[in-house]
Amino acid sequence: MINNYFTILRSEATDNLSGVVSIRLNAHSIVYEGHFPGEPVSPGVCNIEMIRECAEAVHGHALRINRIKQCRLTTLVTPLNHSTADVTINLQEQEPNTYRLTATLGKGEETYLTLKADVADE
Amino acid sequence: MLIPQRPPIVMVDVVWSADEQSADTGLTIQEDNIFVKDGLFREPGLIEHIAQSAAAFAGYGTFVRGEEPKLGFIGEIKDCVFNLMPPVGSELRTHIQLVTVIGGIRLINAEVRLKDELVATCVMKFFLKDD
Repeated sequence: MINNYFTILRSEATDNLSGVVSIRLNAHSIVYEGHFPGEPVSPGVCNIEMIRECAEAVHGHALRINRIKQCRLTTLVTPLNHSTADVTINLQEQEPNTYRLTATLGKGEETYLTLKADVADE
Repeated sequence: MLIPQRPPIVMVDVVWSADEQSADTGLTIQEDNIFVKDGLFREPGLIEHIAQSAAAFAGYGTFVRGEEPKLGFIGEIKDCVFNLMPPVGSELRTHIQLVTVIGGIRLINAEVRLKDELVATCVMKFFLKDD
């Protein structure tokens, strides 16, 4: 959605419900002009949006977030200190076309963000 | 200024009121808002609007002291429900209520409304830099 916020480097889906997407955060994205001036910090909401888009890449279908059950942002992510990272996606079907999304953003042993949300095919 | 964010990621355009316990804010959704897609204000825009409403609430104290607003960061989002995606032109009105402060972490409840309709509700923990 946000033009140029991130790039998908590699997407390895085991099926249309789970996979790992490697991404690169673009330090030149327009969001850093305002978040914050002279101190670029990746907005948590942009990382949630990035995870939603990675889930769509794995799922092969547009997804809408109906409810965030819990999202923990444990690391201050910046495009300079965290230029590349991995997004893990796991979708569990609850009812037809609705899923519980469990996702993480991190690199190696380190986790920057965990997300549990109810999503639906759009 | 009550919040430290600057364009293009300013998601609060009016603070109706703010005190030690609560704040009421608003946002009119413009067509060129970076979180608008196909004419609708999407989930990340709603969360950022809530986060910046919380920042405006937190900024009240620094504002009345004539200080610069501190950078605020979301620590946790819980039970955030999106009932609808407001169309371009919508005038959102949001109420932030402080629940508690524990060790510099503020826990708030947020309700986003469009006229009489409840657009989104959310519980958020956030903290301020250097707090």
